[in-house]
Amino acid sequence: MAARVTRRWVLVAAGTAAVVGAAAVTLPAAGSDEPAEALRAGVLAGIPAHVGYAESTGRLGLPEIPALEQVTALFTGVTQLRAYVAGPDRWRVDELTPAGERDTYRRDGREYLWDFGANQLTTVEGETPVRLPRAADLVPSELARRLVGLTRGDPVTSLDPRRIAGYSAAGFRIAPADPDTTVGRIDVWCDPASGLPLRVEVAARTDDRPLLFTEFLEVALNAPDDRTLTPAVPPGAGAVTAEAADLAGALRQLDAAEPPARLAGRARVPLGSGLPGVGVYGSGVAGFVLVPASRGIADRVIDGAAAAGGTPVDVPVGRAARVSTPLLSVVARGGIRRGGVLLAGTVAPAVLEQAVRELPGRRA
Amino acid sequence: MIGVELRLMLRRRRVWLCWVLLCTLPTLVAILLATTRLAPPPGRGGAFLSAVTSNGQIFPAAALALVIPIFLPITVAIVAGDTVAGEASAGTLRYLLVRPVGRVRLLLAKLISVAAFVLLAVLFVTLVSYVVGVAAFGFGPDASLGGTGAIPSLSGVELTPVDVVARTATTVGYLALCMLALGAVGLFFSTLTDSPLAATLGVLAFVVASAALQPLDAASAIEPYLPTSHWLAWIDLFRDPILWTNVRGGALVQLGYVVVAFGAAWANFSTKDVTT
Repeated sequence: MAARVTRRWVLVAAGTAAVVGAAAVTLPAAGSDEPAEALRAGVLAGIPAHVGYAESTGRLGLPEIPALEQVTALFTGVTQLRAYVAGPDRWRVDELTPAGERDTYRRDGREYLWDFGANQLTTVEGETPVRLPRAADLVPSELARRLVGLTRGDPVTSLDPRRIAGYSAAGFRIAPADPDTTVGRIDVWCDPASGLPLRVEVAARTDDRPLLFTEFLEVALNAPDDRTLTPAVPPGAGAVTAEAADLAGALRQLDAAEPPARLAGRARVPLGSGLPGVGVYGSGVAGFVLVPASRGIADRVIDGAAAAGGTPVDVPVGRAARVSTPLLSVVARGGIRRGGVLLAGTVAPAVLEQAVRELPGRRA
Repeated sequence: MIGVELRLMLRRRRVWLCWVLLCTLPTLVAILLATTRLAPPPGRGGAFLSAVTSNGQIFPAAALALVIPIFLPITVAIVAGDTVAGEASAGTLRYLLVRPVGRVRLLLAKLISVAAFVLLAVLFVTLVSYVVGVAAFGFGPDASLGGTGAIPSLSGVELTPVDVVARTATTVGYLALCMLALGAVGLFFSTLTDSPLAATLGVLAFVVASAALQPLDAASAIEPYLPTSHWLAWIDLFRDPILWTNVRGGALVQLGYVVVAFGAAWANFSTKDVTT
């Protein structure tokens, strides 16, 4: 009897192991002879058309910033993404949530934003040179294109191949040389044949674990059909049109000062069309952005920073606070009328502190 | 044997009580939403709940999202926990096994009766909530304009009535499979004890443990294999195009649980000394 009992349980254990093993086993990745420099050049050359499902994970530990909760969520949790990319000006990316989805379409020189929760399609005309990060930026192919473009001159080395979404992906690592950036490494795995990036990892100098990583779980190298790339407005849903330049109008209302030509030893990057008070300083991943903020928002960020482990910063006018994560640093200045600003970038906190001290006061 | 078990299940008052209670919760929510018109803001509350006030035909999806996390698993735990342990505690298991019926066949009949229970439970919730949803919120905005009262997908594209029926049928099948996995675990627990309550509580402990591990970063390696991780994957069936990735993965994991739990029930029950 005991032998029969044992035999049955051994059978069940073996069956369980077979089921778990079948789910967990992955095929080994084939090696690639492609040198790292050539893989980087392949990514820079352009992204092929593709359709895929990806998941991005952020572990930046950012506190919630008032009015920017959707943005901070991208860097502090898991984002499910579905990408339909026909070309750089013809694509759709869905941010999938358990309660609905937010889809961004780009076609015919316009952007369309569908939000199921709000039951509204927004058509956005025009573009601005600077905008907030959005879910579509975290699709592996897009994130790789941006980051590799920002680090063209930095040294690159090869990584072991990995099996990703059914492809044998060849990897390369970029280690930014600028000592002021917080970015320690950018790892990209791509399909060597097409150059399509399949996985991106970003890690800080102070922590070897990736703090932001995104990967295709399924992807096919085919162009999406036109129907998929056409936004729809169901009956009863709202349809509104907005100008991207509306942002410039909102900034103009803040009546912010012209950003200085240099901050923290970095020159201001000329922006194509004007966003009043906005300045981008430095280049590559060692750059940072200066954005004017209303006094209310700046003060709420400063007050929230204390609760989130931030530290106060001594400034000549007003008050300021710093929130630093291993990868992203944010400094807010407030407490003065029409002088509220936010500075953010993948630079050492000391750089942003220096920048905020150099900022002139405004109508104190 | 299977017919006997199915008739036995349908004669049980507690089974009907479970179905009634499952349908009562969404009905109550529909009545409250219809009278107050206070739907949760977009992105908050249960899936689809913010959109139901503008189209009652979406309510079955919202109702399923409401009962899935707690109510449905509780009813499955009650019914599955009772399958073998209930016979043992009532003293009928011994007599049941005297019949010329193999123990494996008995277990299989019990599993099929649990499968019928979960399938009917999901089906009743879907049908009742459709009737209640349409009665409370109407056929949608375009119906008043002379349209067909179509349902918008999460991606904004309108779904045709045939599409809606097909997607809803797939959702019912998927959720029934998810609950059958839980039912199979309940069947196994039911073979371990003579107390149906202990088996039921074991299933609930299993669900709570899975739900507790799910959000933990430290448990990310096992997260894809937790049963509760896949319970909301059916929402992807209402996107356009349908996202099959999570539904397919979820179905495979739930099938794995059914096979392993039924195997464990067989290993334990086939050689068990039945004295009650």
